Amino acid sequence: MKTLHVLLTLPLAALCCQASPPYVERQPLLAAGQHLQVQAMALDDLNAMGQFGAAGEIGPLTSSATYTYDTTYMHNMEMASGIVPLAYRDLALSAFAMGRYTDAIHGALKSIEQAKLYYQGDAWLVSRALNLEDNSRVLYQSYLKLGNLAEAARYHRQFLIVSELVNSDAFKFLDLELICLRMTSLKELSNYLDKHHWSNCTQFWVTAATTAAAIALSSQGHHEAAAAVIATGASVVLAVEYYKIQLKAQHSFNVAQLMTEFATMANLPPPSPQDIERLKRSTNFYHLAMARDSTNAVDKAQLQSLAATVTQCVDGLDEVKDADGNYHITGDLPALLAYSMRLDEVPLSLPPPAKRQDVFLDKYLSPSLFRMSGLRMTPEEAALLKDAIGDGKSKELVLDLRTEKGRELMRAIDRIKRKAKEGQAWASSL
Amino acid sequence: MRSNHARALPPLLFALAFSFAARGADSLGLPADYAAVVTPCEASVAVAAVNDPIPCDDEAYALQNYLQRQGVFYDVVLAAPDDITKYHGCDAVVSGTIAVSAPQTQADGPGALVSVGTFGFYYLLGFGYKTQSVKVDYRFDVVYPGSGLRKQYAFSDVRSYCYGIYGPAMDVMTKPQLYDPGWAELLYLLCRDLKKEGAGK
Repeated sequence: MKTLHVLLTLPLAALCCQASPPYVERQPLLAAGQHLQVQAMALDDLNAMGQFGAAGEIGPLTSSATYTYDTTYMHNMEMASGIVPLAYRDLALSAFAMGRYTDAIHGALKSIEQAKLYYQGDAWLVSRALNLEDNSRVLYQSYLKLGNLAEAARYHRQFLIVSELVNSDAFKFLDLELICLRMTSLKELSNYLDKHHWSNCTQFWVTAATTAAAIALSSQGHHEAAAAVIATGASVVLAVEYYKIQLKAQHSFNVAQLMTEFATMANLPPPSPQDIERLKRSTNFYHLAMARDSTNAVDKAQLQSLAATVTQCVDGLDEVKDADGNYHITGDLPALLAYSMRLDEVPLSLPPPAKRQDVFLDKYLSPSLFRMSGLRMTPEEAALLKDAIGDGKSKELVLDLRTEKGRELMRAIDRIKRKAKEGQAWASSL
Repeated sequence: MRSNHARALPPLLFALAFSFAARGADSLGLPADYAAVVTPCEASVAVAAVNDPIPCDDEAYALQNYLQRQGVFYDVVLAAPDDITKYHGCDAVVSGTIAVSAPQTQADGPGALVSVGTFGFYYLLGFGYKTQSVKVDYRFDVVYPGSGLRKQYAFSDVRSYCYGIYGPAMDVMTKPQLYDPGWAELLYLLCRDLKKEGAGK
């Protein structure tokens, strides 16, 4: 009967152990900077759930673009619930890394909105908290790069609150509980134990393998080794039992209250001046300026001269469309590229604050500076422009917008123009 | 033997031709001057929320993906919800809603007629005699920040698919393909207004 039970549960167990969290294949790609691939995969997940037939419903069997989840198991249920919120989160993370900040804001807000739907109930406390933490971080950093300090400060405060909670002892305790991570009530726990055949299966295979090894060793006359193998096997089975006992421990803090706090967190009051100051002090520009030696700092006149030169280069650009539909951009392109790259370094080399730090924060760390830093050239953009300008003597750039390269170059030049405008506004306010 | 084959061939060829002619279709079609209007232009577009009846997704991503693949605009971004015209400096900002009717299935008269005419071969070989159709209503609000122009584009599309004994081989309700004719129409209208009326600048 036991054998029959195991045979019957094996296909289901196999299905469960094959399913991985929806983000598992996107994480290494995110780390490797393969953002377009991450976006394509996340969009595939949204398409799978966004069909009229599926309509985002979590059924007994729920499919993402890659996996099918048997949601009668709690851990699979958690993975299935995360398909949509995590797809939006990964879209936001990849967009932020690509410097597309409005895309990142759109994705992060959608992720929070969908987490409210899919992570309802106390069982998803940790998932919801981690989701809120990730998205608040993306939101405050994106708004900062867009120069909206009020919104950035609001989400920065939200990030600090959630981050403090996530790093609390209670959450660390939850993390230590491994497979009981999301079990927050005894009822869910008992349901889980009833349904989770895989742990029973593990015990069975450990026992069977141990017995087989022990018999083999014993038949060869290695009685001591056989006894050691049996002892190891028994300890593994005991460890599984230990986890089961641990699962029965009730978590002591009020989960429902925390979930209510998460729900109301989006309605935080407008940020105070202290919130904005705290936000500015948390930026790396502030820390670098604090650590700078005043003797080799860039002075105000140099900054203003640099911003004026870049603006002059941008103003000198001439743009003509020919009969074939190609755009001819003429001007001092090598100088524009060189000065634009120097302008990119300005936010990282601010002069050290004087005694009155509030003056420094208002004067130097203004919205224009953050906008300018948000338009910093990516290494790919710089390489593309260098390649297009050639040996550094070319005064003309021919852009064919029918090609991806042509569109990328047009985007790069558009960003330089906007950056020059922000740089000029910032420098003239010093 | 040879003459029997020759006699059976014309009805079968007719059935085959009819069945291919009656496959999937959309009512929108492309305007005659589509190729002339939809050409690369120096403009960037921002897409704000585009919602359809499914709450778990946002069609803005599908529209952004579609526009990027067409390679007409040099940049397509998503707008921040707090102010859709702020931050990006785009030439046009699109937002909208899509309403989709429940799919309807009805029998095709000509399909039944051809089935009788071919002694049931048409039906048994699985050629189409039923049509499944769905109506999609689009309503887009477009802001051209450069000129301050605001436009509303509203149009409908009826997608239909003819199928036979084996059931529909293509689901008319499959996204994102369902909205592709609507995206194409929107792209045409955007290009027309950006180029001819100079709405973007």
